[in-house]
Amino acid sequence: MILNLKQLPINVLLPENSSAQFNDAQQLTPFSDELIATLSQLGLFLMKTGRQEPSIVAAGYWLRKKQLLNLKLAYSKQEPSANKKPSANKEPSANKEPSAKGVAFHIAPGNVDSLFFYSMVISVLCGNYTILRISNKLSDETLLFIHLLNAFFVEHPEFSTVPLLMNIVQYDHSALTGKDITQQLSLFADVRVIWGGDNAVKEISKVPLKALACDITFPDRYSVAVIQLTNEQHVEQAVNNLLTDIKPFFQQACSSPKVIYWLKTAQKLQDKFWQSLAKKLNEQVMLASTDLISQLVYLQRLPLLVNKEHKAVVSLAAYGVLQRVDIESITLEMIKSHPGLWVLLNQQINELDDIKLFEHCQTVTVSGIYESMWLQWQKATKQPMKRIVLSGQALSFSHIWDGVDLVNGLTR
Amino acid sequence: MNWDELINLPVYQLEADKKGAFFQDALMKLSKHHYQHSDEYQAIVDALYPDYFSSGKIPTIAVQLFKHHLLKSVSDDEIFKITTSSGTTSQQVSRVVLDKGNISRQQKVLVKIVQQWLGKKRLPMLIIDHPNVIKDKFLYSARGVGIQGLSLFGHHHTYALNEDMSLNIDAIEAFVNQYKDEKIFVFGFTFIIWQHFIQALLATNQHFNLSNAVILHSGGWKKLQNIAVSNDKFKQSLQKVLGQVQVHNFYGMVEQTGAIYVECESGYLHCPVWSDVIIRSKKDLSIEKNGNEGIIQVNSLLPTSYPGHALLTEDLGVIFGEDNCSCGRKGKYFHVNGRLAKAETRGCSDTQS
Repeated sequence: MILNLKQLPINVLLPENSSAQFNDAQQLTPFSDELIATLSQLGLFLMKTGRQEPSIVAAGYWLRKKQLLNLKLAYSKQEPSANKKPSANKEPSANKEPSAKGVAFHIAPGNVDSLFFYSMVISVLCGNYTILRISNKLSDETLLFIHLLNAFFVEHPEFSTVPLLMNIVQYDHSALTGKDITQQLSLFADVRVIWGGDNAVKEISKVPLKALACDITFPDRYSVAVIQLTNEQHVEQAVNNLLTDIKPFFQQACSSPKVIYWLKTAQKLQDKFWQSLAKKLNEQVMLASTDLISQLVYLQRLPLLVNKEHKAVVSLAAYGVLQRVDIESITLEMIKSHPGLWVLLNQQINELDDIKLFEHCQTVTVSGIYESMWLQWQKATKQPMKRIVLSGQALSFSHIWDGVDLVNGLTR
Repeated sequence: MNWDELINLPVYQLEADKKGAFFQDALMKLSKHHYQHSDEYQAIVDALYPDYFSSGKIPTIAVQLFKHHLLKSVSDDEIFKITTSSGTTSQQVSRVVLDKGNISRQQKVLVKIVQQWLGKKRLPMLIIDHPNVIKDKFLYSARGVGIQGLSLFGHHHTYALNEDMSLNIDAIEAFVNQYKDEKIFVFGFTFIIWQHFIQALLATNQHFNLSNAVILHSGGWKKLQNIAVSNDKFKQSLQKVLGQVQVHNFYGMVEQTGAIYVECESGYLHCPVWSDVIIRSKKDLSIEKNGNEGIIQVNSLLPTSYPGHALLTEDLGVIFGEDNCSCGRKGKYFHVNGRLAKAETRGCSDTQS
């Protein structure tokens, strides 16, 4: 079957000047030398030309050759003892080299500016013809990112395969024609990747796929931070790390911590932490009026979202744009209605086992806690979480995301 | 608060120092009333504003809170009615808890204000809407409430539109022929008047020549701003189809029903004696100077059955001054410039715009 994207009422952003024609009869080998050579070159190009945007540099860095070769190595021999544990639902077909799924249709999250790229690039690395649908409202950062991708392929006509695999499109999702396009693309795809939270997953999952195709879905998630401070010297580092995790995307990315659990930390050190965090954040960000009001609405809702049985005490400390809310017991409603916008729910704990997480918890970041201690907790606890990472790395992309192994999902 | 006295205050004649003398004090008393009688308000004040009352400050509640929570200062068996905002522009609607006392106070204040513009006598009333908008229980929303509320000031209520929103030209002609020599009251929602009355009359080249009519209209300018219709253009167009009529826009909201802000002959909205308007900074919500645009806060002495006496709206506006409007009325006078941009969802949960 041949699909010509240009014949659909959609806007093809990448590649800019191509026929954008798909033939699902063609097959590519995952992690082929050509794919790795092209993508690692692209990585170097992005690091050089995208210098003013940290997220673009980070994406370029993620494509370094060594990392791509490591990934290849981890997946080429399907030995169960490998570090990168293969997911449980993968057929234990020992020693069989993985092959591409074929056509992958990705629906990217709205405004987490670089996530679209990782979703697409892993799919391409796995040898799939990839069509990525991106939001109609793009930030300047994303526009620059896509511009650089186009520039790379114009500058390097020798890399002729990868641009065939990398397609970014826009169309109005809500319009009737948009639904029709989603249907056509879904029926063409061998795998569909749905980002964008519970509503998007629910809506798009209704659109039928080919008989043997499957969905990879990313529903709503939230994340938390655990911090321990024992002396003043560590305050700045802890502040900088948390800032790295919460500053981008208005703290609205599902990996940005919404809650801080303080593990046996003196109030004096906590105060120092908040003052320093507030100073840095207020220097770097601002909220528009609409967001100021959304923040106020959430703060005023919090006392009404407490558990009715035991009236938990809620108290607020405002540090300019940053809001710290001390809460005795956090409810699911408080997490579900959290608007980002630099509101941190704050709780004191005496041990890691005091942490009570909700089912949709994704990332726990740790700061100032011995590795052996949190590793042990991770092993023993029944608390739902997809991963623990060091503070400052919550937004760093991994090919295993939300506990979903994307390489396994995008190959057969 | 003694409402027997309050209700008899002159609507637009009290100067700043005299109004200040009682208003702030009354609003603080009202805040404490809600603190005592509303669990929700108490929880908010205790958590977020514990030192406000002791330092003479009154917390401002975001008006959106009424979309998420039922806030009440009366017991369940005292609730007489829960009114809702129209659900047309947003999915969630505001719910406002009213007891009998609060409703009757809203009506009394509305009467006092509207009489300033229509006079004390009931007038023949032309309603620019269709008659079923108040019959449908499910539509018991701002539109229905508004029409019912203002119907008090009219007699021989005539609806100018059919149910499909087309002109009921026979009804309009009969009404005009019968009352053309009398003072007439015309009421409708701004967008409906524009879309289904003015445009329909212009399209069919029909016009009337009313010489003594007062038109009150309300309901937000967002749709009209989108098609570039200003207040001036609206007025001129209305005069084109109806003749030299007086046109007054008014500003109000279901969360503070009754205390409406009516536009004077000079084109400014006026604060009645029972209300106050504050403009807050778009940057940090601090109080803004007169002349600068900011977010409108409305304070009202009317709400006793729900804690809606000091509300931060989603509307933008400018206060031009106090006590010195060229129309001669006292009190603050202002413009509403529009609504704040809608909140955007960003991050992983963006739903695919």
